Amino acid sequence: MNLFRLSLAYLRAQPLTAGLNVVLLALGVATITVLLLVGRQLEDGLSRDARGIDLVLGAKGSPIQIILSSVYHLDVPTGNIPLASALRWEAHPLIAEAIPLALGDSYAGFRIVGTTHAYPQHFGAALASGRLWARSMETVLGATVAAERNLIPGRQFIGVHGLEGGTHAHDYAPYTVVGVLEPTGGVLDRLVLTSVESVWDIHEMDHDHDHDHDHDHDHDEGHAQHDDQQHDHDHDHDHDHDHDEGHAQHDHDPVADENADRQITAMLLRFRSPLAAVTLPRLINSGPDLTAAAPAYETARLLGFVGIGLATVRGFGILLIVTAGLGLFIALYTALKTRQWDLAVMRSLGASRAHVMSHVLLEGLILAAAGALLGLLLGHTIAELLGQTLRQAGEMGITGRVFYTEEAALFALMLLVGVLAALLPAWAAYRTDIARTLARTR
Amino acid sequence: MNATSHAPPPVLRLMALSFDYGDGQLLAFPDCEVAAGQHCLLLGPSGCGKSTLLHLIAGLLRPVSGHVELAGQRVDALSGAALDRFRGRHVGLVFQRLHLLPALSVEDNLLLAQGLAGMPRDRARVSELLERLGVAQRAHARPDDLSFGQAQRVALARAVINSPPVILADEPTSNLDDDNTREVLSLLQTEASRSGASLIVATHDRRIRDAFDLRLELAA
Repeated sequence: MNLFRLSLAYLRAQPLTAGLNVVLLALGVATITVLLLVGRQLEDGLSRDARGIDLVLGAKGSPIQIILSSVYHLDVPTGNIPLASALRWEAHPLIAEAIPLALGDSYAGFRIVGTTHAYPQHFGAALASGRLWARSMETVLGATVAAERNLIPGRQFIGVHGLEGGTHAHDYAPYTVVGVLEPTGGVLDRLVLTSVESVWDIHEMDHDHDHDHDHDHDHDEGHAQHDDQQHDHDHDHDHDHDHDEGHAQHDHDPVADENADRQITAMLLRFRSPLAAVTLPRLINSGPDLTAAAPAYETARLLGFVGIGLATVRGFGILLIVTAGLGLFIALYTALKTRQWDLAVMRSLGASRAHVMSHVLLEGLILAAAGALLGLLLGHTIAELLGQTLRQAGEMGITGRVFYTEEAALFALMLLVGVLAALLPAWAAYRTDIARTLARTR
Repeated sequence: MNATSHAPPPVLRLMALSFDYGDGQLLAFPDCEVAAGQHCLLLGPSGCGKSTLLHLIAGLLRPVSGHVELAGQRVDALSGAALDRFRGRHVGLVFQRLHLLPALSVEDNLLLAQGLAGMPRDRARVSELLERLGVAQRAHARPDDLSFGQAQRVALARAVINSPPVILADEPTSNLDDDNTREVLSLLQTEASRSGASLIVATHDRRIRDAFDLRLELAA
């Protein structure tokens, strides 16, 4: 009968009270744990997917939207930018690397991204099988796409208009899978990569095929498409301004320099020198057609918005823990009044003051530890369920199967709560007057 | 105890003992010596200080003057954890209200008594003792589920489990009818004698007066 078993026996004698306190503590701990897991993975995910990207060029519009659409592939783009404007900045001496992105189509909810080989290389993505694309309509799949759609090199699939799974299928122009990437843990896993030319070409074909159909009015924002001559309401107006926002397009008119009228959705830039961060954004934003968005800044701003919500939930979690700690204190203190004889008897059997004090402290510690462990388990389960059931959480790579050092700190904090709640009752146990208690008839 | 020809050394010696509850009324106790294995009755009306004397002997209270010598050790000279350990090893206590720990099984109550006294936990000893007292089949029961008679036997087992040289019993019979009184008293004396302990019973119950050779009468 050691001290631990003794304390445990007394807790088991009051299963409802002990259970209630454990559950209250666990709820508080679970709330904080879910916040920690989701918040941290969100931050990690955001910084991982933006690693090495100093600036993003997009169409005039909200910088946050540009970052969300082009770096994290979460939102629709603000529009398209002329390839020529983007290329002008690629050649800038302060730019070390420039990666073009052409968005607009998707396959089974996964975005098809027209880009260059520099894009997977930037994130250090290795090929699991096959090779990188060489010609138009060849694609390399992110690991998740390949696994979920059960695709291997050599297979073909049909893309559709729109980023969120549009209705119009490019069924005359299948993509061919030529490679599959190793999992990166980042946004790349959920993308279908192809050449920019593929995106241009398919919409050119699209145009040819759909020439007779009147489908061009209802393009979603974010369609990389080519200009359609049949926009009857725009026909008489300035040609360059009547495209749907977000359509990477190319002009149907025969032109001498093809690049001059080509469009892409965004350009990811890496600086050669930190100096560029000071001068380039202002320079770019002062131009007529581009917005420069810095992922680091926009991400921090975004987390700032989210932070208010997170702080509220965290406050709620702390409130739960404080309530549970108070409940623990009241339970131990009330139990002590009816247990004075027990403690006095223990003393008469040879237990020291320190002994009975530890006995009461241990009860608080056991309850707190049980509540903390249950709460951590619950928190991880909830985070895992969130990642598996909520599409957005899954796309951000939220999982309950990671552990952070802060959880150890949280556990230690809970033990402290247990000790604090048990401190006064333990002190009362320490001070128990054995002779007086034993002499008293209840 | 190893002197066979001489009188055995006293296991308990009270000298010029007095106590004050802080109400200005000094309780003075007569000197007394109890030989090892000898049983003794502390007799007196309620409020005369019987329980106080038991508590002084057990070191639960500290005398104002005089001293208590138990098994060759000045109890009043000990303090803190050393006193608690000494009490656990050398004094078995039987309370009028038995005060078994309700959260623990009968067996665990006895194992705890061994553990708190710093003795090795000896399950064989526990079951042997419960067997002898006829409550072995209740070893895993909770004290609340025992009959009063069974609980009394368990409380007695707890008092003798560490084979202390002195067993102190406070009003063990005051709520019992004549038959039960006889039985409890006989159990107490038998178990005390079996482990060579001196049984010291404090009571106002004059029915058990004749069962003791050595009697210490306390005045009101």
